Amino acid sequence: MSMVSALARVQAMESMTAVKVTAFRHRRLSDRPLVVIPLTMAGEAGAPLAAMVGSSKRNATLLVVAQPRNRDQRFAFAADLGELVTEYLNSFRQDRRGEGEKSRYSDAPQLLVPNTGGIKALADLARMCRFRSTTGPYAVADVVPEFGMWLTFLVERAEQAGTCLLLPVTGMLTEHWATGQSTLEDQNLASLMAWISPPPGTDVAQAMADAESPDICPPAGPTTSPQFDNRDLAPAIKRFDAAHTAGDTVALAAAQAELRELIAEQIQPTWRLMWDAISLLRSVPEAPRAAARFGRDCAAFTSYSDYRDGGGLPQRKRDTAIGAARRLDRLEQALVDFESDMAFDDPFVLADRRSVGEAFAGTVVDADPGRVVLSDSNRRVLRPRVTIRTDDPVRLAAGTKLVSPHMPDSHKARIVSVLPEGGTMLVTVEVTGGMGTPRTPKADGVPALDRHIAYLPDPGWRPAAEFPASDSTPWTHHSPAQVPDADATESENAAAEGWGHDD
Amino acid sequence: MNAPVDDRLTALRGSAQRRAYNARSLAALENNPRCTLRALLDASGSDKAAIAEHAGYPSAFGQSTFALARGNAFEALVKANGYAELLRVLRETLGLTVPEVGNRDLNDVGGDSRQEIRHTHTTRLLVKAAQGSGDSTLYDHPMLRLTVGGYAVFLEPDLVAFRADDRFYIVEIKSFPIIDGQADPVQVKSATTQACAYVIALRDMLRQAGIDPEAAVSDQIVLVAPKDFTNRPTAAFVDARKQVAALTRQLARLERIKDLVELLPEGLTFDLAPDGGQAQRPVEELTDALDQVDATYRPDCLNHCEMAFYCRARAREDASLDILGPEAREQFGGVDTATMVMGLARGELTPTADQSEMAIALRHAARLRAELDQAYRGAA
Amino acid sequence: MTDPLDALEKSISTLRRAIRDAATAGDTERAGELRAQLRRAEKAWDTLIDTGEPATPPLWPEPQAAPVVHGSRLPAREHVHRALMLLGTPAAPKLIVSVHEAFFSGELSASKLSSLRRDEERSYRSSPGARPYYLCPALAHDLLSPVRALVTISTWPLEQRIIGPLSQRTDFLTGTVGVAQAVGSSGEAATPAAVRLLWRLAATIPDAIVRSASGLESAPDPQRVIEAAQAELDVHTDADRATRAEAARRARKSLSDDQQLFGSQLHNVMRLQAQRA
Repeated sequence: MSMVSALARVQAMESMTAVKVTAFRHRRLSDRPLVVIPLTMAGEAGAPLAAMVGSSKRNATLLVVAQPRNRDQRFAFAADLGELVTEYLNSFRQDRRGEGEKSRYSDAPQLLVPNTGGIKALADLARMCRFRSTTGPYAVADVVPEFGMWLTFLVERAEQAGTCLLLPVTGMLTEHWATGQSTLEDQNLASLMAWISPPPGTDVAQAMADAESPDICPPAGPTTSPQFDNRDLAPAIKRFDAAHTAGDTVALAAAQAELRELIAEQIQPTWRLMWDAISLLRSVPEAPRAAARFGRDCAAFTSYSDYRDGGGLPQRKRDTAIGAARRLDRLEQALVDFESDMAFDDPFVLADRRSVGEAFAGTVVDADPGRVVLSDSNRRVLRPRVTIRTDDPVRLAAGTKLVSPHMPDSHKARIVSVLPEGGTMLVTVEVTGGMGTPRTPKADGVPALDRHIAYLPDPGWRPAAEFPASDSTPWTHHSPAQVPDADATESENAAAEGWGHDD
Repeated sequence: MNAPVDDRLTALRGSAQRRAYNARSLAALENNPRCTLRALLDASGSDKAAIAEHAGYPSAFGQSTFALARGNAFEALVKANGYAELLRVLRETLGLTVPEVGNRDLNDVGGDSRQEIRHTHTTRLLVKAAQGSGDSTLYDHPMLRLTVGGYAVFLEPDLVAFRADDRFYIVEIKSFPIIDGQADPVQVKSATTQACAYVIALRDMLRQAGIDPEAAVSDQIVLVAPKDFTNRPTAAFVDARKQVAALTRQLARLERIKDLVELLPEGLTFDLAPDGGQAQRPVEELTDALDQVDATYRPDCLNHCEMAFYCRARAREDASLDILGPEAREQFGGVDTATMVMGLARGELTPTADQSEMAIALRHAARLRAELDQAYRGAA
Repeated sequence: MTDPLDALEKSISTLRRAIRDAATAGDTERAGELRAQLRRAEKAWDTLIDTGEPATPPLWPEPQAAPVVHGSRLPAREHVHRALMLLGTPAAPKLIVSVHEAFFSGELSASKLSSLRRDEERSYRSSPGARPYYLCPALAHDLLSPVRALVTISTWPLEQRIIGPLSQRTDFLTGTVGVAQAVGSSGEAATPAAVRLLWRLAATIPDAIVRSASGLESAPDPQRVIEAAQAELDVHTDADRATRAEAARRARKSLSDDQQLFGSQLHNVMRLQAQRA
């Protein structure tokens, strides 16, 4: 955390209201996001209890597993949810533009869940579904493995910084607002919303207290509150089981209806908060570079669509050594790019970087726009120099390549020297791009004297790192299974045990 | 522990019954070792939940009946049919040989389940095993004992396995899953810390019998948990060496509780003055007493400590930076409150010598934010 | 919070306050949600007042009973007897129920079984020997005290009813042999429940289940299971028999007839042991 972000939190604490930490929303917010609120059963490994799903506030579908410990009911739930989600995904596979390698869908889906726990719940569900067989003694509906693979794709995409196919709403909110509470408490959607937009007629202090009361604000999941489990849910499931055992259809229908109503009441407040949060986020302008990042999301969506159409295998349980290295490299690069994009677009984020000396801004106090030097190949090249006086505690070394949000995109520069003078710093930079030639210098290629300008390091473009092909890795890094993963490598019998009515 | 200290601790607790440590509360020692309030409440055996509730900040802890049932059902499944599943996974992880199947159920001694009786019985059997004349490999629910701050605490691991190479292994049976070879690190850590208390207690027992404790008890914990989404158990070793050392250190600190007690004002007590089960003590009197003792609030106390809501309210009242958590806090080294941060940021306060460097950075940050506020006021 | 009634009353007053706030602010949507929560809390309060018990079941509900098959009207104790005879060893109620469901018809649940066990001892004490057999607990080899988790039949010799350190394993292996024989003799007619039970038991015995190169496990072959179980049994049997025989001798010498069936409450022995340690 930088000094600027820490200070923003203290300001929020003092003023008892959330404060802005960005000028923009750096994520594309779809016109038609699919909100998914998954609930799971406490103590069970990824046992779904319910989900509320829909792409508009008035169009919610509630799915409930009456007995989460029953395997058949779990997969019936997975099939129902799978139908809804794949239908939504397919609705984005209509408008395709471009030719050959560049061909891609013009829009991409966006799933929104309340918090990172919601993503974990979907990841578990994805893992549970993607290897299931649609034939044999424990067959599941065709959509189940398909849904599992799509969900895995979305969850893996969500690991990459700056993407927006699957996002936690708490994360989107905290990117734009700082609260006067801890990051741990910010994971609670209701208490985060209490800071940003307390319910009418309630002050922040009361709203924060209410947000932590399971009576007033049932948790946004994925687990339900123990109080609800013990007081309401356990007896309701027990009634369902009793009706099921007795084969009493009237009682069974009543028990199911009761469970639905009970869970609807728990999930409804979160549903409302999700859409409140979405409309708050809509009011924040989208950052200029979000569009280009979204384009990459569209490309990833297109390529996975095509892979699925080609009957591609489910994703591995665990990466191979090379796969893991490649993934790590990709994630690191994406993070650097995203941070740089944000700083470039957003003066708030730039200020953050400036406060730790990773960027600087100031006034041009000296400029030599016509400076010409001889290149290595003995050509005369234009190498203008400018000196900027800044209050920022610059920690960039000579030679660092720079870009500036205040200059045309072609503008590139390099630090020549950083010298302290009085309480300030004098940074001399040499312009290396976008300045034209000695004969035809560009008019706006060099910042003018007295002008205010900011620079930050150029994240640069680097080629994807080279990794050995799988068959040339040393044996120590071999994955034991060169065959595609499948749960068939374990006994279906064993898997079935887990879902049975064993005890 | 000497008598005066004991008397002071008893006075702190007042009329309430002494709450003994258990593996869970011992594990919690590791979470916030510097908190004096917690150390005193625990050492005196006070009922933190009751105190927090009477002070007006009931704790939000509670376990779901589902989680509880699942935990019990899984342990029963692992031990069912003469430990059949457990033997299968221990043969895989610990490399138990086929003859190593002997087991002892230490849940009771001939129907008597009193802790002392079980502890005596456990000691006899485990010491015998360590001396090479035991007849079993699996010891189910042995009753161990550990002295904490001068008091005996009984601890009961799920199971202790004694391998033919003369080493005991603590076996923890947990119902959270190991999916594709990976389990939730937070849950693994809390399971391991709990198991550390068992390692220490078991070593203590053997040491008293003249057996080399480090050699006889492994600090590799065997974690038995469901594999993927099935009910079928799998097992993994968890290295607990560091955590055993950390917990040992915290236990040693508890022995020095005397130093803390000596600093307390005369007559301080957290007694709730119950009458027929209802606490009668005026709330303000109780909170005054609590306020006499330093608490080190951290946001993650909300996950561990019954007093957390009370301490958070107190920290908020003081505008303490503890509210924001360590990541924000460490930016303002040497400054404790939001009021001071804002005072320094606005230049209304003069920094002390060791705050000066931080204050420069702070004012710089404040200038940056002020410019932005001006530029973006009203927008978004 | 300790008292559930207090907790509920607190919930109710919190909710009332929040409803007032929402209504004052004209937030009808939120007020509606809160009213639903209030109704729940009030209902739970009523239940608690009526029954004096929390609406919470203490543990997970009983396992679902097998569907009732008519035509089998044997008393439950006969079911238990039949299942135990198939296994030929002391067994826990859960295994007894599984064996029953796999091979026999009629209703038998774990809860039924535990009430049955209490009746047996009472019946024996009121008129010993009135029944041809009694269901009684196994006996611990050291203290000769009852091992209540395991059920046996009174007509079995003491050696079979006593549990030493190795006995649970040998009994498990012997029982698996019994199940495998029963599956084997029913051939194609074996129920899915029977095959599943055999699979579950055999999966923990070395080499009892064939694994293909890909790790795929096949359906259990009863003959192979019997051989694998027998192979492990051979390792333990001698030592186990010796312990059981020695304990049985001791029991015959020191216990009365009813103690030999239902175990001894040997408080004296325990005290002695405690002193010795």
